[in-house]
Order: sequence, then C-alpha cells, then structure tokens
Amino acid sequence: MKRSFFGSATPAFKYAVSPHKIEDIPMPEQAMLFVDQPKNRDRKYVIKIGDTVKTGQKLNVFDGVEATTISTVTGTVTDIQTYRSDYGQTYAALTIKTVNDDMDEAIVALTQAPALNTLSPYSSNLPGAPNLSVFEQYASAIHTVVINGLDDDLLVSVNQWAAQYLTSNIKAGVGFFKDIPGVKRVILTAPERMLSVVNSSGAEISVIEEIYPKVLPAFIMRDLLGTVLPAGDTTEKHGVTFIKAEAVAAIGQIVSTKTLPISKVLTVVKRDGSCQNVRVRMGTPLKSVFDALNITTQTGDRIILGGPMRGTAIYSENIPVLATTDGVTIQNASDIPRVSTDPCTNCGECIRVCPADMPVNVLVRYLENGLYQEAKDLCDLLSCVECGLCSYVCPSKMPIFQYIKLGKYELSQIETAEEQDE
Amino acid sequence: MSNAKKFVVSHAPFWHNGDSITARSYHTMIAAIPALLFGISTYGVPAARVIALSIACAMLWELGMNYINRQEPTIANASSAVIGLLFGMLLPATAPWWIVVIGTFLAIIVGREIFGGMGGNPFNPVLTAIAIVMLSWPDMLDYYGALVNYNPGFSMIYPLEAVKFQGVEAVSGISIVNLLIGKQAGGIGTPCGIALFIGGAYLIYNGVIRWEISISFIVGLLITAHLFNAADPAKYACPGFHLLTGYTLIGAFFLATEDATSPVNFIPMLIYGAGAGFLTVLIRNIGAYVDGVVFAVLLMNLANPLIDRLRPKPLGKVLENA
Repeated sequence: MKRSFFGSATPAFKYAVSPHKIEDIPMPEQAMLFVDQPKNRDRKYVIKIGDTVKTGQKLNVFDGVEATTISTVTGTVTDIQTYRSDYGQTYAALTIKTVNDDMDEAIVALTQAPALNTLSPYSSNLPGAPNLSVFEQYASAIHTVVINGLDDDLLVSVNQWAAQYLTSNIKAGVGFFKDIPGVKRVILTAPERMLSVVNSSGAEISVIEEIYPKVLPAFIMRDLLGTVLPAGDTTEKHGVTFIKAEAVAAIGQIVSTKTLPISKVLTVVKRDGSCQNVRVRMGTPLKSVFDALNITTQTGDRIILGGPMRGTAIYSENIPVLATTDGVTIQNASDIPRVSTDPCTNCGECIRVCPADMPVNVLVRYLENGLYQEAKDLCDLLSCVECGLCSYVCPSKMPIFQYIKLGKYELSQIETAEEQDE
Repeated sequence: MSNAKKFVVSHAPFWHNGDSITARSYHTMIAAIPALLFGISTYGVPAARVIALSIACAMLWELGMNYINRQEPTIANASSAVIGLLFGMLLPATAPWWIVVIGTFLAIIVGREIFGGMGGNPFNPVLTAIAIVMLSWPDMLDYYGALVNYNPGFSMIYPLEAVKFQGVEAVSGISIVNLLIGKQAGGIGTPCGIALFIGGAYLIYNGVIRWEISISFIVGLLITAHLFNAADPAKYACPGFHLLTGYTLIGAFFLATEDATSPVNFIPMLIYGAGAGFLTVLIRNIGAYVDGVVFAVLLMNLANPLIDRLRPKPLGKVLENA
C-alpha cells in the first residue's frame, strides 16, 4: 500500500475478503470492563473491590448514575482504575477475576421477551453497539435502517463475516427492525460477491462498490438513498440510521435463540498484514487475545484499535475488547510512518484525494493556528467524513486527520460550553 | 495500569503512501537532467560550474537561515537544491560567481525564507530572484553579450531578442527543428525543447507537477501567439517559435508548476496556466521585455490565491443565499 518512487499507479482501496475460518479465544482469567465515567468531579463509587458480578448484571459503578453497562463475565472485582481515552473520554476500568458464567435473572427475563423499549437501554453492550435509543428519541421519524455489510475501515472484516456466516441471525434481526413502528425500509448494503448469501436476509439489498471510503455513511446516503447529508447533521435527523451487520446479528440472536450475545468477532491484523477473525468474549484484555494467537508485543510497536485508516492507537495492551471494537492491528516499530513538522507545500494531493471535495490545503492552515470557527465557516470543516485519506497522501506527512478531529472536538466543546451558559 | 512496554501512539491513519517532499525534489532534479546535460555539453565546464555553485549556494543559504532561526536543518529535503538548480539553469553559462551567490540569496532568503519557508512563499522563488537580477543587472541576462565568445557550431543568436527588435525576417533562418534540439542561445537549461519535454513528461507521469497547468500554459501561449501571428505575420513570430524559445518550456514544466504558488483545483489550474501563457506572449510581443515568462508567471502567482477560490462544492454544504 505504499507508493513507489517510480510509477504513477495509486493503490486502490479494496476491502479484504473475510475468511470463513474463525478461531475461538478461550475465556480469560481476568477480564476488564469499561464503564463511562461521569464528567462531574464529585462522583462516588458504589462498587468496591471484592464485589461479585454476574454475567448480564447491570454495573452500578457510580452513585446516582443509572447503569447502562452490563457485565459480560461472572466473577469478583479485583481492581478499579481510571482509563483515559482520546478526546477527554474517561472510563472506570473494572478488573474482574472470572469464574464460570452465572446469568443474571433480570437479563434472562429480558432476552425471553425482547422488545425495542426493553432492549434499547442495553443496546450499547451488544456486539457492534447498535444505538436503538434513536428510535425512541426520534419517535417514529426513522424510516430507513441501513445495515452495513462492510466495515468502516480497511482490513477489518467483522461485518462482512457476520453478514456472510450468521445468516439466520441476520434474518431474525432484520425482522426485528422491520417491526419497529415507522421503519419502512431495511436496506442491507453488500458488495456484489456477497449477493448470493445475503439475498435471503429479508432485507432490501443494495450493491455497493467495495472501495474505501465509499462505504462510509455519508456516501451511502448520497449514492444509494440520493440524499446529500448537510454538513454537521446526523443521519438520524434525516430519518436514516446505520447499524452494523454484526449488531443486527446480535439482536437476531436474542430474538431467535433467547440468549444474550456476550462474545463478538474481532479481526486481528498481524504484523505481516495478514488478517484473522477470532471470536472473543467481550471484556477480554487484548493481551489475552495476543497470547492465544502467539503474538508477542514489544516496546516500540503500535497497537491500534480498529483498522489502519480510522483506528485509535492505544498505550496499553490491557485494554479489553469492547462492544465497539471491531479490529486490532499490530504494527512493527519499523513499519510506522512518522509524522513530520514540515509545513504544507500546497501540492494539492489532499484536494484530489478528498472524497468530500473539501479545501484541505486552506483548511489545514486555519486548523494549525487554532482558528476552528473560521475553519468551520470558511473551509467547511464539518463536511469531513473522517476517512483519513488526506493524511495518507500528504507528502509533508502532516497529521491533517488529527487536526480535523481536534478541530471538530474543540468546536463541540465550545458549543457545549455555550449551551451551558444559556 | 502500569506497563513496562511502551507502545507508539499517534493519530490515524496508520498508513502512508510513502510520498515525501524529498522524493518530489529528487524527481524534479531527475527531470532536469536531460536539459542540464545538453547545456553542459554545449557550454562545457563553465555551465557545470554555474549549476554546481548555484545548488551549493542555495543549500548553504537555507542552512544559514535554519541556523539563524534556530531550526533543525531542513536542507535534506532538497527543496532548496531544486531552487538552486532551476536558478542556475536560467542563467547563461558565463554568469560570474557573484551573480549566482546573490541570485540564490534572493531566491532562498528573499523569495522564500522571509515568508516563512517552504510552502509559505507567495511568488516562485526562482522567478523572484531572476526578476530582480534581470532588473538590476540587465546585462547579465543578455545572452548576446554573455555568449559572444562561444562558437558551438550553430548561429548563436538569442531568437526572442532578434525577433523583437528586427522582426520575423531576422530569425527566418532558424528552423523549428533546430530550436527543438536546442540550437539557439539561451540559459544553461533552457534552449533544448526536446529535453524539457522529456523532463516535463517524467514529472507529470510521476505526479509531481500537474498536467493541467503545463498543458494550459502551452495552449494559452500557442493560441495567443497564433492570434498575433495572424494579425501581422511580418512582425510577430509563429506560435511554434514562441513555444520553443526563451523560458517557455522550462516555465511550463518547472516554474509555473511550483507547488506553493500554483492553484490546486482543476478549473483554477486551467485559468492559471492559460493566463500565464497569454501574458507571456503579450509581454513578448507588445511589452518592454524580451521574454515574458518571468513576469507572466509572477503575475499569475499574484492572482493565484484569488483564482484558487473557485473550488467545488464540498459534500453536504448548504448554500444559504443561493
């Protein structure tokens, strides 16, 4: 995927074909659960070391905060720490010594009779973290559900795998979405080669090009639904919601087998670029995944949650596999492209590669100087679909994508502060 | 969560296509080799001397500026070497050493570094320098006088000057083919049309320069020259003559296409190129200067920020007053 010194060929970003083979990672001895930490400072823990949790149990961690996270393992809490993630997000990280599964009664009752209103508070715990609350938030205004049969990053093939090999669950899940009041269309997007498998899913099938970044929501909206999403708007505002194929399969599992999905599929991209799909209990630390696959890590490597274009580099391999974790990529120290402090030379590569036609060369000048409001007003910062291609092609190796994400984050912070003032 | 292993963290994306400023600089230098070889073979060691001094001085000026600014040395990306090389190629082989030293100072320091270094310059540094030299020491770029002692086996006249002051008659003896293979007076790297075409094609193929700018420059120049020629064939030379003389081709492929001073959007690139071509012929035919490329490109550099505002509508942009 590197440009050679000679030759004009630009690499095409095609998706890797999902292998059928899947390896089960054994239940780890120690699991870790992440619970969103409230932003206020006077938070009080109500959980303490030594408490036992059951599989499916609501995790009441903070006083006065209604729990939405459920445990995916049974065991004893041995440690409570704070984990800081990107852009100010913090989690309470509970380390749990695992024993054999013991299902929580409340969750068993829930899975026996799944319905939208009972599932939706827990939906973020399901593999693929579907956001079912949007159906309540927008009343019956959501008319289209788009199931993404491809992943939102290269090399990762979790949704592909789910769409191809969990067909009966997908079918049950599609049925669940069709019954939601107001939903008129359930569309499954899939590349041509998957047609024969996904045809029986019961959803409307849309063939999409298997080229990154054509599978990102903004482009599916434009190309398949004919609606150009105004910059900065959510798709839900326009009556469309996007759900990963894996999440649909998870809901399908609850509907058809009355069991709670507590494992998810994870694509492991190894040092040599080869990909392997594994099935892993949510909450398993990445270290246990690596151990099971005989991968050793060392200082100087890079571990990325997600794929090479849009993932997040992490600083510890004790991070667990979360409901949203679709892939983990390991890079050798020698394979890591460095960013540089070189300035923009205005070569225009980013302009030509940007799928959203943004004036990246001017935008980056505003962002470098922290002029986020100007970047939004004059250079359409919010049109960015966050594909990362601008940074990928930049000869100056500027961290353009990082500037953009930071700019968007800072703007959202300003807006939140303004709302609080009112 | 203490961990003995220290992993590298950075922001996405985690891949890069491997393109770099250094690679682009080397591509430009490779592309200049054919024209350079022709110049050195014609004018011999003095030409090589000018080029070598020019590259070395340009890099030293940048290094000096890095030192003054307390920056990490940036000369390794070879961008100043490219500026030095191109500046040298525009000079006649007999240029004295001090003009090279001053010229590269003007290019690197005045043309680029005082605007914030690479990418910040509003004008092409090479052209800034050559324009100042042209205005301050007009004799230095008078190829008649400069090359009077050479006798390479073809008529050593500077065609643009001849046609300007004596009419088309004066250059009727020079065939287009001779111009194409470089049998004319000129700078070290400018006379040989075929070599510059090869270099330009190489740069376009490797994506270092944009074909839109080069092609529209040439087309704009040809159309304007044709109109003048049609109006008065005795006074104004034919389009092919304008294409192959003076700085036209080095301008189209190496100077007008400089990244920082040229547009990046499709339509602006066409306007920029065509405008530079148009102005070149205008200055040559009815202006005061013999060659118009330098000022034509500088004028279009000036207009670049304005032209480049013509850009496509970004995804999801809502026009409020449309």
